[in-house]
Amino acid sequence: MIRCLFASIFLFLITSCKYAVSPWETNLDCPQIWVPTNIERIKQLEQSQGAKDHFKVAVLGDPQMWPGDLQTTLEILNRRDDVDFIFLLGDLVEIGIKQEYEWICKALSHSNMPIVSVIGNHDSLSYGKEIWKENIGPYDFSFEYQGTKFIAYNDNKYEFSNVPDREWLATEAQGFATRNHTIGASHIAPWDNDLDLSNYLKSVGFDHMIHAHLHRFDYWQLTNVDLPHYVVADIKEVNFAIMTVYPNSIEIENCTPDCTPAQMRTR
Amino acid sequence: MLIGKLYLFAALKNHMTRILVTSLLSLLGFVPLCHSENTDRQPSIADDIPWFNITSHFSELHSGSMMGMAHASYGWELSKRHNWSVGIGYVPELSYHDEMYIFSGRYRYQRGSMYEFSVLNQQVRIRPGSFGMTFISGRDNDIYRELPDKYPDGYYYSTARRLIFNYQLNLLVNSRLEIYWDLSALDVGVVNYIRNNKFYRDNYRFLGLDGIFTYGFGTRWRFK
Repeated sequence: MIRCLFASIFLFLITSCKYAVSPWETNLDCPQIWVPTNIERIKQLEQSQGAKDHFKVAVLGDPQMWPGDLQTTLEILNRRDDVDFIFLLGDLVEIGIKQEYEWICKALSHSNMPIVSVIGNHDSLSYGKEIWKENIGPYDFSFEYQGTKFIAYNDNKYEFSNVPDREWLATEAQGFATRNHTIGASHIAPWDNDLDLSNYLKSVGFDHMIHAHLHRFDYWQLTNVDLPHYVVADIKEVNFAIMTVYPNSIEIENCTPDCTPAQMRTR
Repeated sequence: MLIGKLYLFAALKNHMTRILVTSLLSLLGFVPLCHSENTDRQPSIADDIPWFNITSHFSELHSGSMMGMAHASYGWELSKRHNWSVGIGYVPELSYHDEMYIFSGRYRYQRGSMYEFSVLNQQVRIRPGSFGMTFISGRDNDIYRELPDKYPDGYYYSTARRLIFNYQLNLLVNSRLEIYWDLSALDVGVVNYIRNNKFYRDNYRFLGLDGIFTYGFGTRWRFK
């Protein structure tokens, strides 16, 4: 009996686990979350489906420390056949270490949809910036789908200097009049001490924004700026949003996991 | 010319730091080979207090378990059960990692029970029950011990200071020398495992523990 116990422990010791010299390693192996590959999948989806009069996008945020609920959320989304892709709005991890990224990667491997991720403030901690650049993709990126342009940008002011890159945002938003929508996506909504950003984004052509970071649902626009900012709750206990994009309007539902229309407030 | 000298000085300084740390690690690891036992030790007051009774000193040379490629430590065994040690680890510059030093403080509880086996006509003793906690503090520019001034108070916890939970399987070669295999889980891993138990059990082997543990190995020399 004791021999069997030792044999089991020894077998566990030598066959499982990885050798790690420190918690702060960066050699993540997770090709499925590489953003350029996922954007390519979205383009292929558009080509295979042709033009649609509307489409749905799942919006998720802040899965850090809750990979189990992230997996559950993805399995719920897999059972729906009306969602085209997923926007994951940052804070995939809590302290930016490789192991955390591996757990999130494992959870994301359960999705059968393309997933594009935006960097969050927690993702940038420790060697998180390096891990992100090498394994997930650029901090700022954009792509078009069904006549709508999605522009994702880094606005984590404490962790990066000179963000968001307003010049790049303006350049990317150019030609907005020829598109159905220009949707901005970032981890943090315009900060309270920088609400002028909302005005700026509207002025360069954005007509809707999606964010996370608050860990609760919110949906607001400034009284004098006609630009809605939607904030998705954290993934804990399965929270997400479904954004339905029509040619002339955008509807958002808060899902917990049952979905109800999000109500906008002015501030 | 002056700039050239400064560069040379900086390069030498960096090189000297490496030599110094490497020498320190080597000394700590090989001290036992030069140590002579003091058999005339006088009884101390601490001997009367069981928990504080230092029953031996030891040094370890360890690799992996998130404590460095080479980690040397020196420790005290109290009442043959409680082990305390302090150490320093070195992480070389790798393609995916900057050069780094890791300082540690470890507590380890070891059960006295041992089991003997005969392997190739050689008696081998195994101590299966050895658990511990290690506090580590990394030294590098990308991680911080104190929250930088740019953040509001309490915005983040330290990213350089972490707690590691260990399990060890010890193989006693003789009364002084041990080799061991070590399994370590980071604080954030343990919290995640508790919160997301089903996720780990569904996605990783061995009740999901495969997902949070990393391994290391080492040798320990007991001075008396």
